[in-house]
Amino acid sequence: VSAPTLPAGHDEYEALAVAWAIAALEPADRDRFGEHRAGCGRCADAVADALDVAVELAYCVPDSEPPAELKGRLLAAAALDRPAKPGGALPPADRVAALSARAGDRTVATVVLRGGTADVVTDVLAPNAGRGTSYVLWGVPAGGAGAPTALGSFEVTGGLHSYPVRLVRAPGGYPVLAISEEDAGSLPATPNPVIARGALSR
Amino acid sequence: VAESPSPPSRSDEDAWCAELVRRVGAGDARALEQLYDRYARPAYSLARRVTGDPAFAEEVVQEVFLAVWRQPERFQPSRGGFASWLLAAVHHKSVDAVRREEAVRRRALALQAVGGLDASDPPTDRTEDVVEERLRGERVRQALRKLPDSQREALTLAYYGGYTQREIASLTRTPLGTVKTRMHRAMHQLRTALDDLADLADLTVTDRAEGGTR
Repeated sequence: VSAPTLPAGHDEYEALAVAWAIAALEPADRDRFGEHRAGCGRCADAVADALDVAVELAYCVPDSEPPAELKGRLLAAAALDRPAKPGGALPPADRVAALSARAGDRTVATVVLRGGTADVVTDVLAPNAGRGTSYVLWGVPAGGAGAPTALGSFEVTGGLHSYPVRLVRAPGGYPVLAISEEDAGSLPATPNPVIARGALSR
Repeated sequence: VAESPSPPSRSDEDAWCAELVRRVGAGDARALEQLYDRYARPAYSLARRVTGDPAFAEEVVQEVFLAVWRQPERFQPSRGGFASWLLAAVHHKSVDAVRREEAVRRRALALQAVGGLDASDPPTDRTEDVVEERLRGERVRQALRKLPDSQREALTLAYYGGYTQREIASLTRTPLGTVKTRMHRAMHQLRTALDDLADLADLTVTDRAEGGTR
């Protein structure tokens, strides 16, 4: 391996660094500079310098408030993507269902099916400890034909976490999942009012 | 000065962010939320300005914060502040989104961006961050106004319009080399002007402080 050498005319790279910082490079230059920069401290510093100026340009645009739902969507996506507690990567989800009170409303909880397990990711459902209740996950048959079936229960302790469901039946066969709050330890034949429901992805 | 859970002062902001990013690396969703609370607004404002489309802007902001969650190690505190890094990511993604759109729409947006620089928007929120960002924006507008027209044009077409150097050359009927030089000088002069204005602001603050103790 030969010693790293600055290419003839390293100034050219520093010019590229400035243009990179304001995203003005042609795709080919962008790739070329990207490769070079990865191994060049001088260019990494030149980029950081230019970004300090570029960030000021970012601060002089008209101010717009992001929609409130965006935060919930981000946090749900983050929770789905990786467990909220350290402990290694999980395999990707097999199927998911985003549950909301009504179609189009914000997501209350996301149910993630992975292998033979089900987890409910939420920071919206209220903690149920001390209320003498458990949350129950329901499977709703296709076309509203037939009553929902209790699939298992879970507890919410608060904060954005992935809460495991103690499954008694496999949830995979139902097109729609729903959640209700029931007396602790019971899996009734029919649910209390459903808090949220949503279709299961294929 | 109102108390807030956000960083105690600008000078501590870098350390505050570095700590939150470290916690994100340990899987702490709260830390991600705090970073979002602090930076979602400038991020969304920028994405919205560059893409000209609220739905694109949301997508860009979500993608960038998710990238922080997935690969927090990509932010290196030794290479500058978090805000610069995050907003650069937002900017690049916004520009990519715009480049996927047709050229006609971009041209209109770029011209709007150049024309809209002097427009001051009515305050919508009175929180300290917003007021501070507004003042900061005013300073940049002042600095931009000091640039020669041709330099300001090259810079704003690139930054707000999402045009590449080559596109700007053909748009403004200028040789590519000239465009590159203008852009480079514009960034250099902008830095100098911002430094001068910052010095001026420091002086003013000192004056006031001294005046107050008399």
